[in-house]
Amino acid sequence: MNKFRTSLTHVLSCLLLALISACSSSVKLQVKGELPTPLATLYPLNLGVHYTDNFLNQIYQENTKERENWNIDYRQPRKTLFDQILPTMFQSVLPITAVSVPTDGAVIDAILEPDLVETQFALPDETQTDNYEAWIKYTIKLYQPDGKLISEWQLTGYGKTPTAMFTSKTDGLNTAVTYALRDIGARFVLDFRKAPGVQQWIAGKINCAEYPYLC
Amino acid sequence: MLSNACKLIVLLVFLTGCSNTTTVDEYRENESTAMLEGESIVVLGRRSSTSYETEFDFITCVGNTLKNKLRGINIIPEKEFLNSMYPYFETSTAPMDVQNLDKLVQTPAVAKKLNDFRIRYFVWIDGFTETTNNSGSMSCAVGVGIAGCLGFASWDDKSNYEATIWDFKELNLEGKISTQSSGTSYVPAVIIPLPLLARVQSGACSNMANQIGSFLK
Repeated sequence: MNKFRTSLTHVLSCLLLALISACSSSVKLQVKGELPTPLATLYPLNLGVHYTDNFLNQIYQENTKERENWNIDYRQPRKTLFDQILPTMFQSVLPITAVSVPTDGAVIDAILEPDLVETQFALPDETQTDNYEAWIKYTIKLYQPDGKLISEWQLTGYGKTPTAMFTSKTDGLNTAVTYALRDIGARFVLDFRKAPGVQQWIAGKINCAEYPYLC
Repeated sequence: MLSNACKLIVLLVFLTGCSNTTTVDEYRENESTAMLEGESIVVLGRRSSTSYETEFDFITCVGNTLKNKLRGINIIPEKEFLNSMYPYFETSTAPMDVQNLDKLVQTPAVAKKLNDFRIRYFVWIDGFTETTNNSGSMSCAVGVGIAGCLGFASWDDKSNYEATIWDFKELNLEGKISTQSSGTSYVPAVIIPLPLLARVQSGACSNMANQIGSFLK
């Protein structure tokens, strides 16, 4: 009986601690998530890619009354997504340090520069729904090798995940960010050709008779 | 005395509670032809609504139940399919009707992957389970060397799902199956909480899977 009582006390104490920690408003999260390699159409083009400092280093931080000490770091999956997607879309991908820097004789057809514009989060308590939500907004710029802008467009990714028993706030936000990144990747792969001016640029670079499905 | 009261509550709850009611409807658009051995079915959740999300575990449950029912037919797990077909079947990019699926297979990489899977039927499930009514209350306390709960809580669950079946071979809508379930759960607690749960979602899952299995046989 004593053994049973001790076990019950332990279980209820753990539940109480879990409830207390769930009520804390601070968030420290390093996002880790699975991002699949896409089934993309390969363009016979050589791409340079430039990640801005902002894209590589920005961490979401907020310290308000409602969101005390929020620190959400998704720098790694942000870069991993493009590192996985671009080689499936282009014949070759060359990382470069700046848009206007010469590429030491390497032949590139264009330079892609993704940049992070905005990140937003919503918690179930804030929206009165059962979902953790994340929105991520990027600006994508495509340059000619000499630095002249070919096209600029915006990409928004949205991710949500429902609340569930024993799912913490950080788990919920982690999943929401991963889905938002996945959404951005999907839109990038499928809408690349539809961005203003990109279709004409592709048509000028490849042999449309050989690749009719790309023109 | 307390023990007798406990027994009475439990007996009453068993006799009156935890009852599930389920309704299943079927609509057939085209006559389905027999599946060949080695052909596959993929069960996918529609998650385009902003107000709810079709649960991943419900889709997994329907897939697993269908697998037991249709021997010799391959059921592709949702996550495996979504990752393999990325980015064509994401929430924001998935085809909403069978005509769009026809357009999608014009992309050589997509057509090849779907042929590799030997897909015959797509089963799209849209819906969710929600708690519609809560009542009662329960208090729990922890002290030095003692812990316990006292009270009575109950709630109603309601589930509503619709499955749309596409024939990939014929590129047409095969039919639709819908299921509605509801039930009430109770938790009486005298020191120890005793949950008596109505298995609304799992009931909806088995009814849906059995009906899909019969539909495709």
